[in-house]
Amino acid sequence: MKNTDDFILDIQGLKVHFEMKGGILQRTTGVVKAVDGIDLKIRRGEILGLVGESGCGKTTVGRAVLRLIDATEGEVYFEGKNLLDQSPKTLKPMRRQMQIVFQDPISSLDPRTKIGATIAEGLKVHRLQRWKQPFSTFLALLELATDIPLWLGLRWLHKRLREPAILGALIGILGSVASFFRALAAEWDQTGNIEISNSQIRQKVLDALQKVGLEKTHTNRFPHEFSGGQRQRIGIARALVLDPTFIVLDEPVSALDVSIQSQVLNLLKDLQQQLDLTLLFIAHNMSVIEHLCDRIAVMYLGKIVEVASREELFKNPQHPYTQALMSAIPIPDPKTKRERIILEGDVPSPLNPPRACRFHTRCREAIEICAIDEPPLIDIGNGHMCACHLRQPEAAEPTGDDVTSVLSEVSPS
Amino acid sequence: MTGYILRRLILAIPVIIGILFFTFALTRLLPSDPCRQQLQEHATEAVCREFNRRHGLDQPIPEQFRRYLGDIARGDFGDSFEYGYSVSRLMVERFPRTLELTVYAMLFAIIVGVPLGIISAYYHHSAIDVGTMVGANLGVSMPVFWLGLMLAYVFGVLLKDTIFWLPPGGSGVDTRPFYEVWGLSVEASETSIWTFIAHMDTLNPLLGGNLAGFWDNFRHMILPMAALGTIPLSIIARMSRSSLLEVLGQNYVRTARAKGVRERGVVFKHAFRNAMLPVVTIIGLSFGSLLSGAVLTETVFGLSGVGDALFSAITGRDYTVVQAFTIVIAIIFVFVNLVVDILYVFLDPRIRLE
Amino acid sequence: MIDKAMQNNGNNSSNGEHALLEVRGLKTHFFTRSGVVKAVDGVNLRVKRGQVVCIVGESGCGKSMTALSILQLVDKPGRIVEGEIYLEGEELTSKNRREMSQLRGSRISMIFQEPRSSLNPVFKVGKQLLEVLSIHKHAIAKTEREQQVVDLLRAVGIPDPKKRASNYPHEMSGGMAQRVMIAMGIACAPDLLIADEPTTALDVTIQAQVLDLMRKLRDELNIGIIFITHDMGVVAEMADIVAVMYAGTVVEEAPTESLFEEPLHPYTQGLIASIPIMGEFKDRLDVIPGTVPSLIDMPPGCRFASRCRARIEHNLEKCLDEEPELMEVRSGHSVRCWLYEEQDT
Repeated sequence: MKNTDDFILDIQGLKVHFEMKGGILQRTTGVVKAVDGIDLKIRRGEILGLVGESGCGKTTVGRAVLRLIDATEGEVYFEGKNLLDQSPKTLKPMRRQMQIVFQDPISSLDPRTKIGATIAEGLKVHRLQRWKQPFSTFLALLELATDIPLWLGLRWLHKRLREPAILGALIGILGSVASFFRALAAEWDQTGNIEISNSQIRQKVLDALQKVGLEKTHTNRFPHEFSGGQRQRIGIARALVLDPTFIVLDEPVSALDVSIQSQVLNLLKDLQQQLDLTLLFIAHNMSVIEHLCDRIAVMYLGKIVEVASREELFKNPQHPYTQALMSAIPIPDPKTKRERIILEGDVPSPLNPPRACRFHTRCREAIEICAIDEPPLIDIGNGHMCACHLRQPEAAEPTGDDVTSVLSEVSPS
Repeated sequence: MTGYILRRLILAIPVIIGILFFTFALTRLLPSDPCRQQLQEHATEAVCREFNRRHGLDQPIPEQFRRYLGDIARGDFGDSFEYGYSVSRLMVERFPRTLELTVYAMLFAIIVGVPLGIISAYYHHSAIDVGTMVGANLGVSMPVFWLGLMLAYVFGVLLKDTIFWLPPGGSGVDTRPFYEVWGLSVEASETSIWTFIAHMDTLNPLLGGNLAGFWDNFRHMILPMAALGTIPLSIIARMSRSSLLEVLGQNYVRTARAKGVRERGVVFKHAFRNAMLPVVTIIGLSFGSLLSGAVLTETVFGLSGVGDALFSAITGRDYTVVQAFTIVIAIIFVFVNLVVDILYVFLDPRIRLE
Repeated sequence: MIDKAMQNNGNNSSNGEHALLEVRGLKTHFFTRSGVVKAVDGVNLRVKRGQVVCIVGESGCGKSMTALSILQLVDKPGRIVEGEIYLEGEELTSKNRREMSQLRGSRISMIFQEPRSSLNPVFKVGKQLLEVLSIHKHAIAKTEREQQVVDLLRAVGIPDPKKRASNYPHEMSGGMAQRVMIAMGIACAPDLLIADEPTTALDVTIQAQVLDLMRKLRDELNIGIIFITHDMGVVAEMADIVAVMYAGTVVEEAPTESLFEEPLHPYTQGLIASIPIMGEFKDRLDVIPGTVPSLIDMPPGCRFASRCRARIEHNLEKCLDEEPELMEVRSGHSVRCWLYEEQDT
């Protein structure tokens, strides 16, 4: 059904480092390696879950991909173009196709703007401004006008000059002048702004509201008049109004109550199917991730440690960190008795992460090599990627690991 | 810690150089000529040429600035055109009184303002709270000179012949310099630190054990102090109130109560220190407006301090005096704010010292 | 039966027969300009020694307010308007401020959701911990109290406790700070520990550590714990008894296994069905339609009636007019719903 090799987004070696300043001369005293070299591909039309604990860099990935913060290194290809290379002008039309929904529905909405205006804002940003509309017509005329002197000039020259070499040179010069203007016109065109009337904007806002299950009458209300769940719907509508193909959802349900959370999750699933969206769903809650995502990437301290399809990951988690993470999640069934893996200590600081495998300081299975060499993220079978020295392709078959058996107990008997 | 202080001191250097430059430039940019202002009808061409030569005013402006910086580096602020003696001596004569007035006003503002703020925050929405805040708003909006005149009228004129009477102007009796009382054989030149301290109206008699003299001089300070301190008092009261209100709603205050800390402990131990953080900043900042307010207050109450001298220096184009006082006031302001920042570090461990 | 227990209270408070904590008909209302917000509106609760009672519900259901009311820490404009609270037979609502503050931290202690902001940023954590001991155990020598601080920090699993005691809260991680809070909570060996969403702000792996610690403490110290949470998973792991709250009242109360096996109240059923459960993939999650009614303007009848599917299925008219009482349907399993009226009688 989905073309498995059709990647809408391809992240290669992405690094985002933040410098810490200090001292008398405000020198860099340390570097927070929030994201430290990750590769990730997102297929068209899939929901990719990015899961990890606070401080693992998952939110930073989401923002760096949309260029909301600057990446230190790496490439991010969106529809084949490297986003990190784009100038503001060429980035703008791409931005329209990529949207973001934030975690906190309260603080991400302007309290003094009616939600109709909030949703329409995106359209207005990308709209060809009114004064520019006649200008674009003017440019079209200019393009035509450059052709006229070329034509007239050629006729005039033809009479005056006999020397064909000079004639050729002059035609060349005139031609380049004309193409300069054409390029100028094309440059204007490249901002990709759309010509849209106010009534069309209104219609699009209403469409977006309807898609997220809100009503027409809501456009004239302020954010504080809505409940948390409704505000998150507004956030989604704001992203949808530009007809994006790719949306980053940064913890969109973690601030919501469980009964509201389920409403929003169902909505996201429906929208993804109806509008054929590609979603990068960032969350810390494994259960939510499992419910929504087709494929899941697990992050730990700025690195991706495991990527697999939903079925594969939850049936057969491989990385020791993923196993611990899953076993730590409380299951709402008092009869399930699991052997828990309780990790010792805190997550190390990204300012000074452990060498080699970053998980080795807390890993139960760590061996000597884990502190010496960093394990690469490799395919250990069926597209299940894992970065662990102890999980090699030949060892991919079930190892009788406790978590594996634990999880089969969890599934309905 | 020392690194932090050092960094702050180094950062203060460009500020002070900037101040030096601007005060120099501003005085030179003023129209009119110091010779005419000073000598009035005696200012003939020949006299003025001599006047300018003696004060270095015949030199080109960059040369004047160069000399000026060199002199300041040697601690020489030059001579006053008007008084005919060194600005340093004028400063030693005048500055102690202004300093005392400012410090008293500041203490008055803090000692009254902080408790008022605490009380109104604790009894939020009560009559005390509303009353205090109405008073504070009035206090902020009253000009110093008007308040000064009103206070002088009420306490000096209306309440005359009652025990509430306070002198409406001037300073108290002269007292013997404390070092003479102590029998110290110090060489108190006109610009020495001894003379500086001896010029403090209330500190000098106190050091000299002359309580009557202290009381008389202090009584003369009360009205100027109240007039000058009212604006910062109001600001401090409002700030303490809103800050404490915010802190009382914090999670750790709830924790303190849940631990069984009594109300008094909750307010004074857990909330107070946190609530004082923004207030300390405000105190530092209002010190600047206090110094400038002191100029007006001294004029109203006829105290001969810096304000008085600065006022006549500005009108008389007495460049050296204007420059010197501006620089000293600016440096004090920079220094006070440096102290505030360092205090902040002690109060709030979250501020990193690097 | 409760009345009898109350009469007995005075002399045999150590008797294990009756509850450690008994809350009866508690109502905490907030008197705001826009009206009276009935945050807690008739809550009954019983906690025994060595038992974890979980109060579960969504935001605004009154679960935190119930906890704060027990300690009488409700801020203005809220106050307890009705109800009694008994700690081993001693009535608490009639106590004065001084008596209450003696009780807080020594016999009932509380820990909160945001551990880092719940610690005073300007004092070292050791000092804050020492403060509890200084207030309630001033008879002990100071050096001994200081030793106890270190012991407590060690007991809650803080590595290098001596050094950690001189840290400021901002120098600790959330998990560490919550351990400090717990240490503070158990410092005076209380009878009852109230934990208000203690792990909500923590990561799952850290949550697992903290839950593990709290279970250990309950077993070792034999204290009663009221554990407030919105996470059904945490409930299943921690609770002996669960009280489900909705819009200011307890709608269902049952032993944990019984509640998860057969949730009776339509709200509880909806709540459990709406959670995504790891390892049980569902294509669509169940949803409770609508939203919680306003606490200022509560409609008559059952508070859940407007969102209740069962009411429509069973065509119950009564729900809209009359509020049901909490009735015991099975042994130990009570529910506030008209659906079970006949079974009750």
